[in-house]
Amino acid sequence: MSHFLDRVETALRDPDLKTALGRATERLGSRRSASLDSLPDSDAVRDMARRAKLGLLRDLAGNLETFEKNLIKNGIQVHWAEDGAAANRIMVEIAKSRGCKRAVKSKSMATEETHLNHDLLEAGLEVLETDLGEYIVQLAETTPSHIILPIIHMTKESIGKVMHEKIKVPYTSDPEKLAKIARVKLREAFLSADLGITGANFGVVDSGALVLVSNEGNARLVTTLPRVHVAVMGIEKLVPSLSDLDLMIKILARSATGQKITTYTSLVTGPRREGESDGCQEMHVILLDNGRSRILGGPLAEILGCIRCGACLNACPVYKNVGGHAYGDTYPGPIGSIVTPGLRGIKAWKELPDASSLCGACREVCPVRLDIPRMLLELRKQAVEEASIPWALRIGLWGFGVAASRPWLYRAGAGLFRRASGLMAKSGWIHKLPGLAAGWTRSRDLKAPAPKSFQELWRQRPVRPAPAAAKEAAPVR
Amino acid sequence: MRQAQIRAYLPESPQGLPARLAYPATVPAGRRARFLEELKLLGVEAFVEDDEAGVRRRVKGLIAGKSILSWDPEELPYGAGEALQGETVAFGRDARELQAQADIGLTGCEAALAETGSLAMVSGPGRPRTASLLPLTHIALIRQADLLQGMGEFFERYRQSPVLPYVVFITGPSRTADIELSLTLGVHGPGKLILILGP
Repeated sequence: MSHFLDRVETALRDPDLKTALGRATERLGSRRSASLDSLPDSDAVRDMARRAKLGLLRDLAGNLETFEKNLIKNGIQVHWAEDGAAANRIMVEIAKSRGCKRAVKSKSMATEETHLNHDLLEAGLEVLETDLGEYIVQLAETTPSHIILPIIHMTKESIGKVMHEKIKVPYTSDPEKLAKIARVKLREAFLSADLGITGANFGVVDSGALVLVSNEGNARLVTTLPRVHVAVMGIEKLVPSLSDLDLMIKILARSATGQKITTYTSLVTGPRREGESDGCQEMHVILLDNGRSRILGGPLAEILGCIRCGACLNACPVYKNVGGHAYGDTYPGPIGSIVTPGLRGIKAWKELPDASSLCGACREVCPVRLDIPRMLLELRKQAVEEASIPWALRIGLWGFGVAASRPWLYRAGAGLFRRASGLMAKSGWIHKLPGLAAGWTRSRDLKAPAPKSFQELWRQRPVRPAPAAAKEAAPVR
Repeated sequence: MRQAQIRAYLPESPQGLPARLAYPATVPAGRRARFLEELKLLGVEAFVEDDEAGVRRRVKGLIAGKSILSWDPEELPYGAGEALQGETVAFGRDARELQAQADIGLTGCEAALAETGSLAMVSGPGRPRTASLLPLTHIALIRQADLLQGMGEFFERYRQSPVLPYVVFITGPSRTADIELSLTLGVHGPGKLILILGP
């Protein structure tokens, strides 16, 4: 079995995970619906958001140039990173050259993608995640399983255990007490850190500003207290202007958690101005490519419009059952099934686009109306063209093509299957198909076909004369 | 050629979409009613005072005997700086460690947004960000004239500034549901938000 299927098996065997995922995705999903209902013209707003994002992507290069110019005008230093390793190198260089020893981080998927923490630790820096969920993920030495709720997969007892073991506090599983412990620990870190690291939810091209959203307040602390602030931003995270930002803010929180807006929405425009007593003294932005520009010219281009709300995760029947870790990389769920093969290559990740029934629930809920099923099909096509598929499958598909284009052959084969399955079935169900077909029945039963096909029944039906009344019925005009 | 490919996969939107979000006109009384409604949903305590003296009395009542981290008195509306006399107060110019000991943060705000029950806080000299961030309780004073309908209008005002300052929109107390979806307030930012709406 492949690694992916191993991870899926592990997830499916965990009843706690299933309960947690079910509860969380149900709650987030229903809150999303309720809050979008309260937004007038929410469909038009989503269409407008899509228009803004795709329009910007059509000239991403030009927009990035303008963005850089405006960032510099605001006193922000701009760096370009071709890939994750480059981004991490730049971060380490900035930290070392500014004599930074201790970093506090607010949640950033981009830095998960580049495995930044690992490189910072190697370089001898202390890094502390400050988003409560990410802090616990860091203590537990694991990875987040949902892009909005990183520890959705952990029970409060296991969280209590992690905190008791790793930071030596008395064991408790009371969420409020646990949060208070984290507040005190992290407050001390915020006050003593000299480097603040964030991602960016949006970059506003016209204003040269970054936008950070959070509910806890850690993003504010990270951008207010340490003397150096470095933000890592994927190059696709731009919006043209502040009025487009208004649009995005309206749908981001609603799609993610059902809130009208997150508790804190910060517009970060540069280092502290003359006379201010807080804010960083030096600010940097690292613009991360890591495969995004390669996606831009191809059929997956619109995935770059994703605003990372997580709504597709909550709607996806596959995600709801297996959770984020099964996807094996930074981004889980429908979005991850496209981003991971898109950025990292289809060869190693071809199972992800397969793990979908193409039900389209993701497309329904996406605030930017991304056509995720189309892109999944595109990736499956790429997988067939580039990656190796088992010879048995190739032969099977070729054989099916031959049979299906010859009606007599198809009927004969179907008839044979019906007779054979009549012999294999127990009370109407086949529990195990033999040979190469065994994969179908590994996790499901196959209903035995009816003894006679519809065509046979139709041909054998008694012919009745047409009722006389029909001839006299008035024709419909 | 590459441009053609880019355009093929990033289609134009269908015609007929509005060019921008509509911002219907609103009246102050309507905005105030909506604002208070939203605050109730957020669990934010709000006081409406009819005159300056009322505002100052309310502030004094809330902060008396506590340690406070405040904006500079000249930055507070309604002469509320007066209420700080005789109290333990730290300001932006004081050491971080001192600021971090305050129980209550006292600020004004640049604007308030009725649609979402938000405060728009713009940083500047004498208006430290820490006042609305470090203490467990945050008290904010809002002038009726600064109560706008939504973010769109705020941005209209804001983008006129020659040098864009740091802005944060605050909507309710700091919260998390990371642990088994149970709501906890005051994780990093203030767990209690009290707004005083003046004349």
